[in-house]
Amino acid sequence: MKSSARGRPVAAWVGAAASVALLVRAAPARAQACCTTTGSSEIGVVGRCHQGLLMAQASYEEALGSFDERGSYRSLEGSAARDATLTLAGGVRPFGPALQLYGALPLRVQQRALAGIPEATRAGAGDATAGARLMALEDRMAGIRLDEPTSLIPFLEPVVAVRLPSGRAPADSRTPSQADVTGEGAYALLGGVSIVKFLTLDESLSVTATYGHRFAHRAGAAASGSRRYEPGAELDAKLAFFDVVDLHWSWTAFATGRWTAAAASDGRPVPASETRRIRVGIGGARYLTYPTWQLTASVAADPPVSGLSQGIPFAGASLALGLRRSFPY
Amino acid sequence: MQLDPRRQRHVPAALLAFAAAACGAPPEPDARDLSGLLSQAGALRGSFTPAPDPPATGDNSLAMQLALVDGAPLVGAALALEPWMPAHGHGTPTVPVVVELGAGSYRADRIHLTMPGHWEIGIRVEWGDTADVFILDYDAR
Ligand SMILES: [Cu+2]
Repeated sequence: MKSSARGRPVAAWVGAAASVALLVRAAPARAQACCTTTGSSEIGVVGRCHQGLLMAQASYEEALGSFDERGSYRSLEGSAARDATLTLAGGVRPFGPALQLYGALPLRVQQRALAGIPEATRAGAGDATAGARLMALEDRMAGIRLDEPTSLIPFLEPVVAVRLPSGRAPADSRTPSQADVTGEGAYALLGGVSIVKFLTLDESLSVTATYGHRFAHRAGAAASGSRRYEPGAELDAKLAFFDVVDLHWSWTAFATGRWTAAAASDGRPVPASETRRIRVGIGGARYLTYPTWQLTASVAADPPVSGLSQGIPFAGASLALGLRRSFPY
Repeated sequence: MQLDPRRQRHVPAALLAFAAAACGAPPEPDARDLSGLLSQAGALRGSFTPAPDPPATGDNSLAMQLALVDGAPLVGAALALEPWMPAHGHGTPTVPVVVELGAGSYRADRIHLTMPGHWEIGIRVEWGDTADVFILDYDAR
């Protein structure tokens, strides 16, 4: 009796110490889950528990085929299109955790080798984006429990952004292969929503959907006067699954879709100008030093399946490596 | 050169398939019949042979046989070509060059199709004080 009475407080202390140790261990793990997941929907986006982010991502994309306007996939024959991109991006939460401002500028090096046209490699800025997000709802990150309705609440962020025609538009191309075309030549206004839901303590699902209005612009070729070209509206969607393995490691599998509506030229709709692009990919992230420096890597590809995408001249595979410096509160 | 985006009417695909079957050569799935086309204002008839055929991403050329609708070969005309990708709203930085070969025959070189997909080749033909336009549909692979 005596010994067991003495043993109870000891056991309680051991239990409490173990719980604290677990909590101490679990808190950063959950923070890592939170930041990695909420900061991954788009390049430059700051994770929920960080105040700021600076990042650089180097990517390489090789075109392997194309989807015609009916969706038939065909391998590229006798031509090559290779793009290397260094994207500099960053974000900050200037007035507390709810609102963040972020932006990204891609710097592109593009090689085009097309049969009978002088091969060319050209470098230049691509189209820059700047946006804002508001954390409207917050997930408690305890996983879903059906007996607890509040556990169904996800992270929810409305997003607004602009894309600027900082890249060289096709109308301004001076290179026969158009290797120098690094942008669309159109301003775009984007609005959407990003939703992240933790299914368990360390697995989450994220859905981002953005509608983009691309503004009309003058388009012309060397031989002609200009025309008024209205690119179709765009819808971008990303579905991602995240698994946070431990404090340092996490991995993701994702699919992206991009749909554009029919374009119009001088007020008339352009037949068969709708496009669709479906890509899939996987990625991993590792904190070099938690919670500041993180290394990311991902591969993505256009599955070469007829009917999946349509109206995509260059489809292929890409590899991206990124380095993120986060600034915790 | 502002080209009317209205498309040419083409010989039905069945006819093309029949013609190709008659020659014993299976048709390329995307090959379009570019013979006996009527110009937009109806003043000219033209037959066009792309090289390569079907057109491909990269450098292309185009042989053209042009005649007035009464059948007389069109000689001494000035031709200007403009490749245009209507879905993307862009053309090409390179201007194709055209040479007249005589007896209504012309040839255009340096038609640079910079990506796979659907292109329109606008051909503006000027002779005397008259002008007319052909627009050819290309599916570059
Ligand atoms: Cu194009």
